Amino acid sequence: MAEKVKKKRKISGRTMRNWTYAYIFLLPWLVGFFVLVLYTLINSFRYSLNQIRITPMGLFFVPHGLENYRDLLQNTFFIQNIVSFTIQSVLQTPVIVSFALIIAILLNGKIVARGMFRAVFFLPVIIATGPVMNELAGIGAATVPAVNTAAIAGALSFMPSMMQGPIVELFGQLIMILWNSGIQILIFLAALQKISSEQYEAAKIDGASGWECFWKITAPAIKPMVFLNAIYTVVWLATGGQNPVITQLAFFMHSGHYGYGYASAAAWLYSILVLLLLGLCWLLLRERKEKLIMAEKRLAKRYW
Amino acid sequence: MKKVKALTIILVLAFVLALTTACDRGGDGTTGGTLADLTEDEVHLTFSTWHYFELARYVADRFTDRHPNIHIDIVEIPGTAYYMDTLVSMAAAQNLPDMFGFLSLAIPINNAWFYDFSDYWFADPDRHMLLDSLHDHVLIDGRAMRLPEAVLPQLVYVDRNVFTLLNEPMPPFDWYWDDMLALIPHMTRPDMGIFGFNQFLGLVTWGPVVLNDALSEFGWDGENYNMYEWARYMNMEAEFERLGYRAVSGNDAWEALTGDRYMWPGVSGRVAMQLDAIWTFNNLYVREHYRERGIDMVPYAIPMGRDAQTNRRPAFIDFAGISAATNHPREAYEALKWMTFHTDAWTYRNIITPELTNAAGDPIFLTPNRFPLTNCETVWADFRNLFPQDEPAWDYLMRASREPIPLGGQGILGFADWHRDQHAYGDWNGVIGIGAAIREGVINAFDAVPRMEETGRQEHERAIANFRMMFGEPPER
Repeated sequence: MAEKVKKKRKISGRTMRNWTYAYIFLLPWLVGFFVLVLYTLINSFRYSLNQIRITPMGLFFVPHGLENYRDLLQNTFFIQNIVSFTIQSVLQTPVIVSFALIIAILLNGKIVARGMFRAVFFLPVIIATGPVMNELAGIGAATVPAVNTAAIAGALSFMPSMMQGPIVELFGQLIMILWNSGIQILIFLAALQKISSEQYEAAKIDGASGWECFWKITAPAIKPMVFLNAIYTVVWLATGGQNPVITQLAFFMHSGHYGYGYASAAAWLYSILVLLLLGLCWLLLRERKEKLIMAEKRLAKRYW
Repeated sequence: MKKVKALTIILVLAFVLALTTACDRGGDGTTGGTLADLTEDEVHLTFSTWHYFELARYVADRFTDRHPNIHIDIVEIPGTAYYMDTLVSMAAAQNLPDMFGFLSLAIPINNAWFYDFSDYWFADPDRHMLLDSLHDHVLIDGRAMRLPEAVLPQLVYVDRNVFTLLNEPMPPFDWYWDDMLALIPHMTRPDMGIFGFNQFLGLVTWGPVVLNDALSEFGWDGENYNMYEWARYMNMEAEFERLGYRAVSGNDAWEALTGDRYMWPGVSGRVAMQLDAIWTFNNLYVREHYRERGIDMVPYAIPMGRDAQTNRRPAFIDFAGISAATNHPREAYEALKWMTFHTDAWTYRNIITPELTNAAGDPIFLTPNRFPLTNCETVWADFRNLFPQDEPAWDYLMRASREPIPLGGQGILGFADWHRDQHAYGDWNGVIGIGAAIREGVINAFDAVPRMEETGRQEHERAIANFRMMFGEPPER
């Protein structure tokens, strides 16, 4: 028992010091989380269970139970918007991530004025955000004129409109989708630059082609980044100003009919949907432990 | 020098005298009590608006000239897009201005923003300065809660150049509704690329008011919507479009005709009549650029039905209210009256309007957009001088603009929700929106009437019940 206590004291002395340093560094984030995120989340959930009147004397709460949630599930336009968003995300995320990967591989090669090209692909992230993006989309700068969206819509006319819309939009907003790839390109570039060139050299000596090098070396090395980029893309699309769900949430919030309570309930339902989409990304792109163990066993068999 | 000084003093005195005596306070002088005196303490009030800040500041300063201890600070929230959102945020932060203009009646009502100033209103002889047709709209369920801030008439622009080109006589200024309808097919000449009309708001909105003396659009009679005329004109509009009487842009035929696929028909010089609103004159038609393009739009009042008993005409009417949280309701009431319909304030508006300039130094108003809210003839006469003197159409338009009535969003409780849920986004046999459903032929407008009327009545009753839950039953007066 005494030994146990002694051991405990010894550990706590060192860990306490480590913890202190750790928490000092974590403090800004913790304060930010508790003040700006957790408090807001709890408040928002409380709002969602009330009907709220925004009187000049302050917020006035009328308990409403789960009515806001029930009403939302019967609100055709909300449902239509979140279904469209889901389909759009499922379609656009792979396109954006794939495009980002291709461009990152090209930009990682030895090409003339590589720095300038990298800047060019990152520029939309800096200049084409929020209202600028909306303005550009409004004047048709986000579309490729050669793509006949009317013909695509005609070909997909057998689909219900809430499914057809996002697919047509995918083609109609091709430029916009490509503009959304700046950060992802940067992440892939960082990952590609971490792969040791010796691995490629060794593979080439063993007679591997470029294609094989990509699948055997590059792809496994950057897989965690694919997951990260997929997560980033879903969150980016979910919170972007061009997303009709976001516009609708703002409308609910400031509407005389709906108000803060309804808007909060809508935000919670939407957040759950986004979390499900993130969960889907995780299911599809996570590093599976069994696979790692199998690979290790295979290696062990080969060399020992 | 002394003579000049004396003359100046006499002129100033004459002006002040004219201000105070040119228009009496009208009405029968009856009041429902007495108004308390204004405080002598220093008071700072806030008034929010979304446009013409210089004009608002000028008028507010004249109020302070009259009441030196009361100051009105203008809260500038530019543009209509985020105006109400900003007010909602200000209210949530308990910072709603003492007086606020609003674009939607539903938000202030549902959130109990309004101060009930009935006691002041019914005791105030100045209330008779306000145009008669607007008195009812000051009241919400029997309580005085808002004042009209601006009237922007809707009207018909008749292009004199098109009539001259076709060698047709211009219609008389006191035309009737059926005259206008007859002109639409008559003036359409497909071979010459001339269309009978184009509209921003028009037949469906105006018909029920000018034919049946309704109190607002959709045939509102104060308790119910009577939508027979609405259905008739919904079908007629669709028919006029199908027959090619209406100019429609954004298609190949329009591009072939004008060379510009998206040119707004109202400035193409190819429409005989543009059914629109007053601001289009100041923004476009009075400008040299459009006159040089051969557009000579003459402003005609919306024609009345032959059996109409009133001169009610739909207009865009903006309102303003007093915050329920104000610390100075009496002073805010006096200030709001000044900022909205007070005759003397309108005299000052007439003086300053031609002098207002934008950042580039150009005049903001070549002709004013907002028509007076007062009954005072002197104000109207001065106002007339701000428009082209050689165009008699303005005289008739001004005479015809004395009974403006608001559209549903500002005039009817529960309208916004009903309009959104049924008109704009209602499911009509699988098509969203009644307009689209009628155009696509999935429903006849007359078949939609029972549902529209019933849901409209229900939504109004719900809104009234909601209002009474907050403010109680309407007071006996």
